[in-house]
Amino acid sequence: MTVAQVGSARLLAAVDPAAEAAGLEPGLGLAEARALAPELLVEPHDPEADAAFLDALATACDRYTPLVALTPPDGLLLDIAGCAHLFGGEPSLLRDLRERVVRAGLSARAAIAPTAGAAWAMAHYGSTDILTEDGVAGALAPLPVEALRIVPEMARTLKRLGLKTIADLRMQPRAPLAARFGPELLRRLDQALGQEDEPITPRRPLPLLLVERRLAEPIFQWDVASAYLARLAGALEERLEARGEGARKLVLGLFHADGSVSEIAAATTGPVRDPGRITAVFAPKLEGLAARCTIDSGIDLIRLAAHETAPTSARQGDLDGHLQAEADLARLIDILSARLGADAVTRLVAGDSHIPEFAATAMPAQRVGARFDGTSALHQRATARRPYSAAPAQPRAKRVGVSEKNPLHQPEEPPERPLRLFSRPEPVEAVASVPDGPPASFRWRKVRYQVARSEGPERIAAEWWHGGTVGPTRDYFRVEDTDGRRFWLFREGLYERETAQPRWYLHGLFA
Amino acid sequence: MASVPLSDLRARIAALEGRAGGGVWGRAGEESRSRSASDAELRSVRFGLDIVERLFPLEARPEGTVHDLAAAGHRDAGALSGVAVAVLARMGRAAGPIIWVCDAVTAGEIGALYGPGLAAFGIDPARLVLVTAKSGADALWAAEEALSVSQLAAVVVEIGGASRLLDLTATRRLALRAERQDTPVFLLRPAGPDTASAARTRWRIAPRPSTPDPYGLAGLGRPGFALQLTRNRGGPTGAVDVEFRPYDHRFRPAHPLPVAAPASDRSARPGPAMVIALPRAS
Repeated sequence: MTVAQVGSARLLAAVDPAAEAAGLEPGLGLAEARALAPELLVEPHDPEADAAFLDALATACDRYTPLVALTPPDGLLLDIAGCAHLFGGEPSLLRDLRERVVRAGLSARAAIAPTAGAAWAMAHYGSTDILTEDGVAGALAPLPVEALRIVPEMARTLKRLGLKTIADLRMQPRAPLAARFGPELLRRLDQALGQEDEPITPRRPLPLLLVERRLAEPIFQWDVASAYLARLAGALEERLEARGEGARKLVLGLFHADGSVSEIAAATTGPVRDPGRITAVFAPKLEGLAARCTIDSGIDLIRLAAHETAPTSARQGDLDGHLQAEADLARLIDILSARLGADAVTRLVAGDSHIPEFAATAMPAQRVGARFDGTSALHQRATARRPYSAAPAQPRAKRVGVSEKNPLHQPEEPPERPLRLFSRPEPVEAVASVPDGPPASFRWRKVRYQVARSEGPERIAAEWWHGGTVGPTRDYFRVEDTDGRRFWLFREGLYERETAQPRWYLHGLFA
Repeated sequence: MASVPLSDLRARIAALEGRAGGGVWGRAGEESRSRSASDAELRSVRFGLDIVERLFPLEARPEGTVHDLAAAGHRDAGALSGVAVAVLARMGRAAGPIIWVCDAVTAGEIGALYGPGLAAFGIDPARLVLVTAKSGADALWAAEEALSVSQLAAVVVEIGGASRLLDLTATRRLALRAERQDTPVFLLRPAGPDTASAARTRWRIAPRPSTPDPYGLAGLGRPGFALQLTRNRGGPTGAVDVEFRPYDHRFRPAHPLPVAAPASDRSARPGPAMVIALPRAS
């Protein structure tokens, strides 16, 4: 049994059957309870752990239906409409559920009813397992009013008024009830009786497509599981093809007989239908799972769900095999992302900022896609400013030749942006000959560098038009040390206007 | 045995190793006679910029093999990346996408590749897929996976601190896959060349100070590198200073730096090499 601290009092939060037999009940003070049963064993109440356990239980119940809702603190609601036949009908589904719960060492009450309210009432207060459409009113009638999922105060008031059962309640005229207790009471009553619809809020979003395989004989080998995965991927392909779509996000659920569930999520580059690619995406994760844990109780249900899909454009394959190349690259990106994480496999895209660290961002390659034709915005932006860019349409050789004949005209300035950029500028100690000037020397990572050449400053101001706190202005210098190493340094803050003691940072490395 | 020409032995070794040509010079399908002829021709070739340009051709994908590029330390990583990006930029867009694998520790030490900087260096950043692996071992795995795809222009593996991972076995595995897929692999070792390697060529790369401006302007010059080719199976080795022109992807010879005034008391040409024993300092 557990104890919760409510205000300054310590009250019983939950009791086990033995304590219940001794006359204890939740809500009792701990001192009182000790007086009743001196040999009491007490644990602190941990609602978060309870909630986490309920969530795990809900995951285990996903095997029956994807529509599982939580009714905290201790209930689960399963919408099994259209699912029961998969288990041989409602009675055997209920039996299966109970067996599994008992095997997991829990005690639980379960009931099946046409409405969520009735099922909740039967599970908590009733004795009938399975209600049919016609039996609801009759079965609910003798139950106490608490069975309607109303707050305890309301139930106490109703009882004081002599309205002890649901039957009592139903015999009262509705208008005074609504006036006295508000709309909640009647809504609950109607929901239980099926006169008002009650939508179930599933614990997690429903997959768009779902294929699964129930195994009469649980399997114990991971490679058998991946063989089943391949079959499911084939089944999913048919369903996706019918919709003209491909999957973007997939979840593989492996339901163990002991109630635990291993779930593997995977994302793909572009919509995918090909079973080979789907299995390839999961393969490294399955291997990782196999390395981490063993199948002790056997897997008896494997489910493959598509949580996000996108239409596949029926592009015609060209003779060069461009599409094949794209598919191969997408597959590679998927495999790398699956093992290293989607954020570890990136492509560079142009950012909407002139602040250097935001001018280009590394986006997950799975989101950017696997197309490599065409010139990117980043490249256009960098080459547009240059008169002699690498644009292939230009009569390049000729123009270069002309410009080389004119030595005063430099055809190409050295790059103004570094090849490598530190995500966090590294602080350096710099010595400048004049306050606003370039550094004469600086110390970076405990090594002193003597500056031989420098160019700058290039002043990059913070983006004040975005509002919010605006960082100080940066003056960037390109410097070269005596050995020819090139660095991108900046001084943060304008002298006297923004700061008295500007700090220096190293932001990048030039070639 | 002494009468067997060296070129024949080279050809025999090449055949044993399953290489089509004799070194980076041979073209697949050539007869061995013409190959030995070209070998003979090459032995007389002195190392220079043209060798660099033949190894890393313009508007073409180089031969599928492993090139090992090392810098003296993390602070020279800019120059090391510069040479690698220059070589990749030379291949041209048609060569295909590039997978650049880096381990996370090294990426923290030397910074991430920067899009605008790449674009200014003559390569479209969108051609790159950047892979950041948690460990050196993961980086090697990613590179081997990348070599299962045939459309790549190149695979770059950058492993800094854990470059012990890039030993003979690992580089051999990469080399076999590179040859099978005919995709060049560039191993970048920012922390130094301290392990053995099965690479076809090994380079040491150092930054090179800007060429002094003839008009006395104090700004930075074109990116310059001191390249030292320390191994070249079937070809000459040597050192050359180059500059890279991003706009037409060409290497240019860097003019020698006036380190000191010409000596008046000795000849400009060095005499025969001598080894002089000096007492140990400490």
